[in-house]
Amino acid sequence: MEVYDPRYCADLGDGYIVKWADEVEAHSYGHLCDVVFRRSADAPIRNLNAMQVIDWTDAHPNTSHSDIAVVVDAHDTVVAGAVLLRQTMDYAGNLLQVGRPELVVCHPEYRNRGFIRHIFTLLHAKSHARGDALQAITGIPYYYRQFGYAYAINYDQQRVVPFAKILKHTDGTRSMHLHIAEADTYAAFIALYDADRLSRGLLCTTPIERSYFTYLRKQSQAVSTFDPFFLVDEEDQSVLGYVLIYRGNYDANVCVLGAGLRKDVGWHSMLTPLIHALERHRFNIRITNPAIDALTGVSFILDTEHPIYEQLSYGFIYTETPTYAWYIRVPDYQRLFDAMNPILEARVAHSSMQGYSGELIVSCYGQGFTMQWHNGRLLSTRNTRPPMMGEGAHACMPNDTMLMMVFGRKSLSQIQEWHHEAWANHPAAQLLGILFPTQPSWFLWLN
Amino acid sequence: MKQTQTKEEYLADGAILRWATHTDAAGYASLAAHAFLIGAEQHSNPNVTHYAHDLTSDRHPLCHSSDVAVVCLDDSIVAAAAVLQQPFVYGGINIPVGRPELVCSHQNVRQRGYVRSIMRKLHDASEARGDVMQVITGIPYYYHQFGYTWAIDYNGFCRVEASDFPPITNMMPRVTIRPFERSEYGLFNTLYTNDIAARALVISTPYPEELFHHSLGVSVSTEGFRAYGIYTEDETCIGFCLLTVRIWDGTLSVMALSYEEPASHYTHSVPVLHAIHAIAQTLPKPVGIQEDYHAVDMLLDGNHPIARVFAALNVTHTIIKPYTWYVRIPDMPKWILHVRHVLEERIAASPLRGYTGSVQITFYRNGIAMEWQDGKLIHVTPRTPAPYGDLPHAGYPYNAFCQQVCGWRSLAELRAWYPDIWATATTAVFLDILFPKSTSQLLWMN
Repeated sequence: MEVYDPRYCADLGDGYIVKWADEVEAHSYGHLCDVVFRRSADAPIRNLNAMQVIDWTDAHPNTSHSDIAVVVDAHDTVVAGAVLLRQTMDYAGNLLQVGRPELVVCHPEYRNRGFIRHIFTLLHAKSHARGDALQAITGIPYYYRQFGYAYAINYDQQRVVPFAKILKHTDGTRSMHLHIAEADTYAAFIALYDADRLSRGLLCTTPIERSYFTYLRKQSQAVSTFDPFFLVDEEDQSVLGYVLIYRGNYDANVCVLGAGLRKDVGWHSMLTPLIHALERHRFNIRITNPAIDALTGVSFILDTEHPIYEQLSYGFIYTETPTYAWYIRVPDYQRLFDAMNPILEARVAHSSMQGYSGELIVSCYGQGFTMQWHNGRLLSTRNTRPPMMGEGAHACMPNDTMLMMVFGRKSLSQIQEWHHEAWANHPAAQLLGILFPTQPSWFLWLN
Repeated sequence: MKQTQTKEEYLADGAILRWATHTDAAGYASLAAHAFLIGAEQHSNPNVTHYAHDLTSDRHPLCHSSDVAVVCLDDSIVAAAAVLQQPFVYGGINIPVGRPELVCSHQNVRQRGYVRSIMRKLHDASEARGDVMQVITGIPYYYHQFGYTWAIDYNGFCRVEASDFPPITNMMPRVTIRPFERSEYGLFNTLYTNDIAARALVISTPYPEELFHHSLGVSVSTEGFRAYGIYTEDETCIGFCLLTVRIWDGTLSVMALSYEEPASHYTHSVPVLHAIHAIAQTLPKPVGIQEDYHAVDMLLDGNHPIARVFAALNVTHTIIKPYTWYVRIPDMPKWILHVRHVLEERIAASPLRGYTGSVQITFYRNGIAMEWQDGKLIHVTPRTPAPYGDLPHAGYPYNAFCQQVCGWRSLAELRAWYPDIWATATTAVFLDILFPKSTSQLLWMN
């Protein structure tokens, strides 16, 4: 039986079994998440993650209870688990299917037994079997490196603006209010959202499908996701733009996960009204941390190049935390590059290597790929395994740096400057530089 | 250092792992010659043959034959490596360091884990004799699997083709270069240590007198270098250089080069290049298929002034970026305690003078806790993350922390690459002071 088969289970010894969850185990897994994700062992258990798991198993368009892998003990108690979500990544116009492990959890008393490693074997097998080109996870620092993930896409730079530091409206500034985007406004909302994500030179972005939008607005009850809002002009009631607001508190702040404006308005006049609107909206945010009495600011968690950040640098008082990053795993370069074929060929066609013919052998030390180009067309990519030390390759670099380059986070020259074991001959360096330029991304999670 | 002989270990397929004796010299040399074949023609490598003999001769000052681990199969040595003592100074403090070298396995026995077993044995022996770290100059990527990380720049090249040497003009000084005499270690070492001190290197390489003597007469190896004095016409010694004892792929490598005032790189580089050129033409090219001598490589640290001087003198040159030493620090608390005095000096000279506090650093699977009291480092202990609500002051993958403690990367540089590197604001200041980014020059001492 294949690992991704819903009936699959494996004996881990000592009475422990790794398997795909049934409905009962899925609910137990949700409870386990609430037990584990506490600040201390004696903190009260809140029902936040259990609610999220119910959302996923009952209504989410892209996951179900059978996408949850669990380890159970001899009494069928769930002691570890994780879910595999699915979402689409728009990579420069090419749609890639992404498997996204989430809510990875192991009870502290059962750690260091390899349970999570077994669970990831199941998740990765299922993700590969259903055709995902990559896996992505927003996880705790360092941990997921052991499963072949690398920090390859910048993720969520945070800037916090205290409400108390915002000046009141000056003359001529427009006022706005937030209006929830209902399910039947999908087309209007997505038009704004897509115009924003596709107009800012971003490499990896997240299309939002109607099914997910409907789920979000009609079925999802969990706190750990966002709601879509229109920004509405107080004066003429016209729609100025959109904003994605996290349902719960983020520390003591309202959290904005995305925002865009109509083409004819700019953040220079809209940022202050937006923050005021968020200040009024704060009473609708579900505060999940009992230690927080009130929300005192707005936490923008956006891509590094977002125009709100540029606007904040002109007279706003804010604090900033460095960018985190998505962990990315690509087990099959052939599949990934086949899916990216149109953009790779387009990049070559618009470059100094237009019409290129030749072979590119890349070693990632232990794994690698060979591309066959002819007259500017990528005829094939094969997964190859050049010798350990890269003999015969045209370029060599550690696999994590290869992923950083493919997803636009670092250039080949930056990688060579940093990693002295990365090298490429001149034609390979030129081609790789054309295929994988550095470019910012905004890859939004869809819980 | 003589190893305590332990009993043989049995490995896969009936192989035996043991320490060598001087009688294994020929077997080790033969293995190395075939493991390090030269060029597409697969020419047997005489350089490593001589080197293996040198390391197992029981006359090398930094390696005894019993520092060589060998794997024998059917009475033949099929894999082997030595662990040398590597002279190493960090911030003025001598550190005992082991250096695995001449790691080789026969192509017919690869992928059996023999080198893994050898490295384990070398590491155990290195730690048992008191080494607090290991370093290796090895092939790309391979040694990560044994716990090594890149952490010290290794000789960037500044290459000058012989055909591009500017002519010596009448305005230039006349110099000659000749090997130091065995009796001149004191003179050489003064020049050498002055050079290190002048360049504020955080990691540098003391040059032992025994190795100086060995390289001037005893050694049969062609893998080393030799110390030369630089002299004026009136026989005044105005500087020194370290030159490899053979031509490497068409180049002669200069491992160190410095002058005493009033001589300088600016005034003397061109005549010294010509003097080195004259020596290069007398040095052997051990393998006929290799390129003839055509250039001089300055293998100096990345911040060495020579490249800027060449630019100022319009000497055509090519910069080849540094490669890197792999570093392994098996016990970080022990390493930090070994260098505590320089760390305390750094704190004393900083705005955190008199610092008192606990600094908890997670390496995710483990970590360290440093306790400081009035600017003194009181304890460094291992740290285990708490199962709930762990609140360290900084987080690093272990290898990245090694890169910062060796001065190779700053915290900010590391953070720009790896988001799992972080520190609280106070701790970031503290760690920047404790482990600043610095230039190093670690010479291999073959």
